[in-house]
Amino acid sequence: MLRMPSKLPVKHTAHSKRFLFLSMLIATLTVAGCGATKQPPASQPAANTPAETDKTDDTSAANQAPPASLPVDTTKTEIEVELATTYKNGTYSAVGSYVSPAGPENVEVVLTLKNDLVIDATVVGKATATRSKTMQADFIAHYKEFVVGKNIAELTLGKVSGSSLTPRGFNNAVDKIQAAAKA
Amino acid sequence: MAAEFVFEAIGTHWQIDVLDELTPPNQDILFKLICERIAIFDQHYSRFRTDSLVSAMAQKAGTYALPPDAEPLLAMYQRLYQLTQGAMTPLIGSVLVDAGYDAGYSLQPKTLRKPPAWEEVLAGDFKNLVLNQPALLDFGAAGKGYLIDLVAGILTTHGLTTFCVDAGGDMRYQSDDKKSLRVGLENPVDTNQAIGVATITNQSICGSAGNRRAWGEFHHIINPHTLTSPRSILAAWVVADRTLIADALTTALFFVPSATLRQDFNFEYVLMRADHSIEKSPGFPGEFFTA
Repeated sequence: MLRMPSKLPVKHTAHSKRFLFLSMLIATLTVAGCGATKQPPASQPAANTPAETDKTDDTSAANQAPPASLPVDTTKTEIEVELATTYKNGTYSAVGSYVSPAGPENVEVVLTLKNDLVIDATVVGKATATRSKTMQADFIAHYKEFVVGKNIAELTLGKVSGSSLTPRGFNNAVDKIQAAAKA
Repeated sequence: MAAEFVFEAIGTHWQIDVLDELTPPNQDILFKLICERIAIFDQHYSRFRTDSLVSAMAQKAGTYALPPDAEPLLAMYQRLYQLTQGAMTPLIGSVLVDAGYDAGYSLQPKTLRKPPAWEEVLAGDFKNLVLNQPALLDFGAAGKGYLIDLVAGILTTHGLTTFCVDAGGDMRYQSDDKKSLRVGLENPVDTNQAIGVATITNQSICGSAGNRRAWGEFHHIINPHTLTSPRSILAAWVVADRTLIADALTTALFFVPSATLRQDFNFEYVLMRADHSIEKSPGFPGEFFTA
């Protein structure tokens, strides 16, 4: 879906289609991989027993059984994982006190929490002493080295890197737990 | 014509774009070679399958003849074990399983126990590894990057010069005419946004973030000393000359300052901390969208 620098020609030829079909089929059949389809399933197991000498070279292992697909347990109903976050999403404010050389001062902090993460913060100066006012203003001007993202869809990109994309099995498991947690 | 291979393997989405000319029969051959190589790697190093080498090692102590590709991977883990003072360890396997990151993705945490030290368990060399006690090794922190290198090696061996091997956002980009590739850095707080763009040429980039592959109080990285997932860093990216290095260092950066890793590795990096501030190496190739 994202582009390489040079445009990739003809995605819709017969051969490309076959690749896509093959890979989609494989993806449907097993979570773990593309090499699984052409191997005979009943070959010897790969376990490398202790003291055994080098048997795990590339050619022997290429003939191993296909990876087992991940078991999906549909029978379990009791799930103990708490997906609940520690903090409720929302905006919170608090006034903090400290003692400056000029005496006690306050500063107000407003935090917006989402999924236990601080996604926005505002600091409001409440200082009374002149020197404290200057210090707080300086702090407010510089504390917020926050990153403002840009919409990925609006950027001209070849690729995106981040957390591993489409961890299918994992996300399915999370979905199941969330569904169970709501029930 | 150019080729595009899209498939799922080792629990992630692969997209391999080859811009060199390739006849359809050669595309078929190449795809088969790639798939076989990935299958071999999975057979050896996946803790998610019961018939893998690492699953066998989890059952029984002894001396194991390792495949020829094991040495670079284990050497990397050993060095990072030392540099992170044990925080990054392949022995985290049992901890991840107990936390629920197991073959069935149960995601149901049990009581966690600290893993043993490297020296307690692993001895010998990386050709014949001595396992003093059964141990479930986890190569999740660097294995994918290494596999990307191995797949890229197949392409290079076959004379291909311009390609991108992308496995779930970790990638190796090779360009004969030195054209650069723009890679968006996904904002871990809002995955529709990029916090910046890295520009790579004949390099690898890997990213790691705690927002996906996260459950309960854990994500995919767990500190063996505290048995918690690091929370002070939301995401890390590393650009390096090898994907093995880039991948391994993204995890290492969750545990130690970049300076600790500089003594051994050449790399550029970006971190996003929990307060959304950005830390990056001066030479990181790219731009950032800061306030």
